[in-house]
Amino acid sequence: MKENIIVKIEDLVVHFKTIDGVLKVLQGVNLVVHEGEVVGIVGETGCGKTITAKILLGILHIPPAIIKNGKVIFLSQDLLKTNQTDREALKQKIGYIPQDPTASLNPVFSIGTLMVDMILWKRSGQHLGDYLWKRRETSQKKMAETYAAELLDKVHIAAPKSILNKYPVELSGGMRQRVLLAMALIGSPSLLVADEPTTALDVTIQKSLLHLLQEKVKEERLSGLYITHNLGVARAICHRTYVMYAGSVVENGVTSEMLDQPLHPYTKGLVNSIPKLTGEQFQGIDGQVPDYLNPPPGCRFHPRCDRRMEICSREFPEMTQVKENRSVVCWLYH
Amino acid sequence: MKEEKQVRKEGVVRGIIKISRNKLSVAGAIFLLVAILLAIFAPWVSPYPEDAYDSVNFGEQLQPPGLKHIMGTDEAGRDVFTRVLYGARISLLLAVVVLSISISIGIPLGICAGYYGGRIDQVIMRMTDVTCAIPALVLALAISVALSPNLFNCMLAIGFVWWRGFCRIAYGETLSVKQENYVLISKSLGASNGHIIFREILPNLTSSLTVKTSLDAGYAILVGTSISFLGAGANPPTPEWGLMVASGRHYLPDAWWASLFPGLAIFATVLSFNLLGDGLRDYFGVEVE
Amino acid sequence: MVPEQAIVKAVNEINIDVKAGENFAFVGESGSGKTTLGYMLARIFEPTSGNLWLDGKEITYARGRELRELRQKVQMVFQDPGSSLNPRQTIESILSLPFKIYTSLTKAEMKKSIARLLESVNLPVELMPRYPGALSGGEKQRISLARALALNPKLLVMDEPTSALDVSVQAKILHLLVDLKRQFGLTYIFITHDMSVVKNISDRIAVTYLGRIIELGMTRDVFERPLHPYTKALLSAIPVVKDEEKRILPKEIILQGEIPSPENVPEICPFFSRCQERQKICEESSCPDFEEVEKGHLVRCYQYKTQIN
Repeated sequence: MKENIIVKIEDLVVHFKTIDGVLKVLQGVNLVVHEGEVVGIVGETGCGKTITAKILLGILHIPPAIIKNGKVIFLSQDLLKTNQTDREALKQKIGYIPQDPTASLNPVFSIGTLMVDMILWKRSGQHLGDYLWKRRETSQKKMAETYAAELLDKVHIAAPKSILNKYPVELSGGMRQRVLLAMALIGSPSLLVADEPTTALDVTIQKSLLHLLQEKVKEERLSGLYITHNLGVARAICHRTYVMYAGSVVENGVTSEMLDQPLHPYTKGLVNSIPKLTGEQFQGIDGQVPDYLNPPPGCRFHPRCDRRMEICSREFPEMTQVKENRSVVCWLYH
Repeated sequence: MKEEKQVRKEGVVRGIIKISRNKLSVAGAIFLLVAILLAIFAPWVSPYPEDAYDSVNFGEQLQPPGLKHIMGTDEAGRDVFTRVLYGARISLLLAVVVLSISISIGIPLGICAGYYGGRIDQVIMRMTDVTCAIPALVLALAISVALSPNLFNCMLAIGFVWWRGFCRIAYGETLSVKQENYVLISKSLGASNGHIIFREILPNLTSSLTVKTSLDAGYAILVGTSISFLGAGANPPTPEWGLMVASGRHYLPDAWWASLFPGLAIFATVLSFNLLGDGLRDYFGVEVE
Repeated sequence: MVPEQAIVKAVNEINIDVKAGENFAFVGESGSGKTTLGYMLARIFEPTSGNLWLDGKEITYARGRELRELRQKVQMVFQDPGSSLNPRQTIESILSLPFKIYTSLTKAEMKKSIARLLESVNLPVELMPRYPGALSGGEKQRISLARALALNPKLLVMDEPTSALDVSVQAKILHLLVDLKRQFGLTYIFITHDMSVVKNISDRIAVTYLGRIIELGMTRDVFERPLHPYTKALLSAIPVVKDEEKRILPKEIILQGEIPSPENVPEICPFFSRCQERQKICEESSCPDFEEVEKGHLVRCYQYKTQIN
C-alpha cells in the first residue's frame, strides 16, 4: 500500500561560502518520510544532518549557504520554490523540537507566556497585526491558556496549570524538553522535526521522553524526522533511518534491520565502534572526516574504507536499491 | 620549527583578510596610521614649524584658507595647518600616557580582585564603583583644576579616572576564566598563583583589552580636548586642539577656519579610533562597551 | 554541600577499595554526586568529612610536600576536551606545565619528554607549536590524557572522558586507555553514565544515586543480576544498537517523575520517590545499609534485608 509521502528531499546540494573558500557540504541528499512513520537521520558531527533539517524548517541562513540544486518537497510542495506566504503557511504544519532545552526557552518569560505567545501567533496565521490584536483580547488569551494547559497535560506534565506560571529555570531538563514537545504540538502539525532532543538528558529521562514521543506520534498521527548521532536512540524510536557521512546519505533502511546487518562500510564501522552489552570487540574507524573545502573525489568515505576499490576514488557511487525501503550508496553493491 | 612559522603566517594572513572585510574600520586604521606618521614627522612636514608655539605675525592675522595657508591663520597669525599637525602630537601623546596609566593601575587591580576574591575583591570593586559614579570628564576636570591646570596634570587626571574601566573588564574576565577547567587542572597540578595569573588568565584577557584600548584612546582624546577647551588643561600658546577651538570661538562665524579645522581633527581622530575599535571588537568577538 | 556529605557518608559506611590495576567505575546520572567524588579524589575539592586513603596512607588532609607527592600520583581527566586546554597556550606549553612544577628538566629534556608523551597517545610531534583550537575533539582529549600521564601517576580519575566525542573517535580513545593501563600499570577510576562503555571497560562498578552508592559489585555480576530497582531501570534505559543486546536487558522499566534535586536529600532511601518496587518500610526507615547478597556484590535496598528489626 503506497502511503502518503510527507517529506521528500531530492538531490539536495548545498555549499557554504566562508573566508577560506567554498565548503561543499551537502552532496546530493535523498530522503523520504511517509505518513505516520518516524525517520531518523544518523551521523557524526559535521555530516550535514542538521543542515538538512534546517533547510526543511526554513531556518538556514541563505547567505552564507547556497542551495545549488535539489528539491525539498513537503506536503507536495517544493519549499525551495514556493513564495514567502505559502511557505509560512506550510511551516505551520511543522513542529520543531530543538536540541538544548536550556538554550531554547527564553529564561525571562514564564512557560505560560511563551506558550500563549506561540499559540496566538500561530492562530493569527503569522500575521503581525492580527497577532497584536489577539494579544489584547483577554478571551483569546484565556483560550490560549486553556489550550496550553491541555498540551502540557498531553506530554504528561503533572499539574499543568501551575507549570504555566513557572519559569524555565525552575524546571528540570526533562521537563523543559517536554514543554518544548508541547510547544511543537501547537496547531496540530503533520510533521515533527526533532534535533537531538535527548542528547543533554540523563539516560532514564531520555527513556521516558522517547516513550512519550512514540506515544504522541501514534496518538496524533504524526510523522517525524529525528536527528541524532546515537544509533541506539535511532533504533528505539525510528522506523527507518538514513545514515549520513560527509554530506550525503550512504545507507538507509528499516532501523533494526540496518543496524543488525549493516551494508555500507561506514555503517558497519559505526556499528562496530559502539561498545556492546554482549561484550564483543569494538573498534573505531581510522582516519578523519574529510575537509569540505577539498573533499576527496568519488565516494567521500573511500580514504577510510578498508574495502575500497579503484572506482571508489573516481566516481561517486550510485544508489542501489537492495529491496523495498532499503538502499545503499556504495560500489560494492552496484 | 618550520611548521610553527608556517602556522603563524597563515594565522596572520587570515586575520588580515578577515579584518579587511570591514571597510570602515580599515578606513579608520588607515587614517590613524597617517595621523601618527604626520604627528611624528610634524616638524618636517608642516609648512611653518615656527608657528607651532610662540610666534606672532600680526600682518597675517585671520587669513582665510588659501594657497599660502591651506587652513588659514589664527588670531595671532599662526598657520592653522601646522598647529593642527603639532596638536596631533599632543593628543596622541595624551592617549598613550592616559592609557598607560590606566592599564597599569586598572588591570592588576582587576585581576587581583577577580582572582583572590573575598575582602580584596570587595575593597577594590567598591573603590571602582565609587569612581564610576562620577562622569569621567567631571572628575578629571576637578582633579586637573585642583592640581593646577596644565597639560601634564590634565593627562594625569584623566589617567587616574580612566583605570576604572580597565579594572572592571579585567575583573569580569578573570572571574569567568578562573572557572574554566584548564585553570582547575593547573591548580590541581599545583601551579602557583603567579603562574595561573600570568600564563593562564592574562593571555585570555588580551582580546578584550585590545578592543577597549582602541575605543578608549578615542574617548580619552575627547576628554582631554574638552578639558583644554574649558581652560583647565593645556595653556596657550600650546597648539592643543581643544584650546585652539576655544580661542577660535571668539571669531566665529567670520573666521570659521580657526575653530573648524582643529574641531575636525578631533572629530576625525576620535571617529577613527572608534571605527578601529569596532572592527577589532567584531574580529575578536568580544563584548566590550 | 549536601552531595559531598552524602557521598562521604557512603565512604564512611563502607570502604570502597579500589585495587591496584583495577578499572573501577562510578555510574550515575546527574545529581548522583559522581563528579564531586572525582574532584575530591583528585584533591580539587576537600571532603567535608570522611577519609581517603591512597596506597595505605591517609591523604584526606594532605598538605605541602605530601600534597605535592599526592598530586603526582593521582591525576584527573575531565569531560569537555574543549575547556580542558587553555586556548591561548600552545600544546607544548600546556604539556610542559607538569614538568615545570615537579621536575627540574632543561628545556631540551622537557621537549624530549613531551615528544614521548605525544607518541604514547598516538599523536604526531608536529602538534607541539599548535594551539588547541586547531585540534579535533579526539586529539584534544588525547592531549588531556598526555598531560595526566606526564608525571607517571598511579591513579587516573576520568570524568566522562569520551562522552563529548563522536562514536568512532570514542572507540579509539577507549582502546588507547586500555593500552595505556597495561603499558604503565595504571589504576583507573571511571566516572560515567554510559553503561555500554562500563560493561566493556570496567572490572567493578558502583552505582550511585543522589550522593549514595546503592549497588556495588563486579561488572559482570551487576549486569547479569542487577539487584537495586534503580540499577534495573538504568540498565533498561540503555539505548542498545543490536538485537542480541536487547535480550540481555532486564524487562523494560520507564521511570516516572524527575530526578530530585540533590539539595534536600531526605534521610530515607534516595530512590524512594521513583521506585516501582517500593514498600512501606522504605518510607518509614532511614536509608538501608549495605547487604552482601552474593560474594562481592552489595546492595542497599530493603528487599534484600536479611534481618528485620
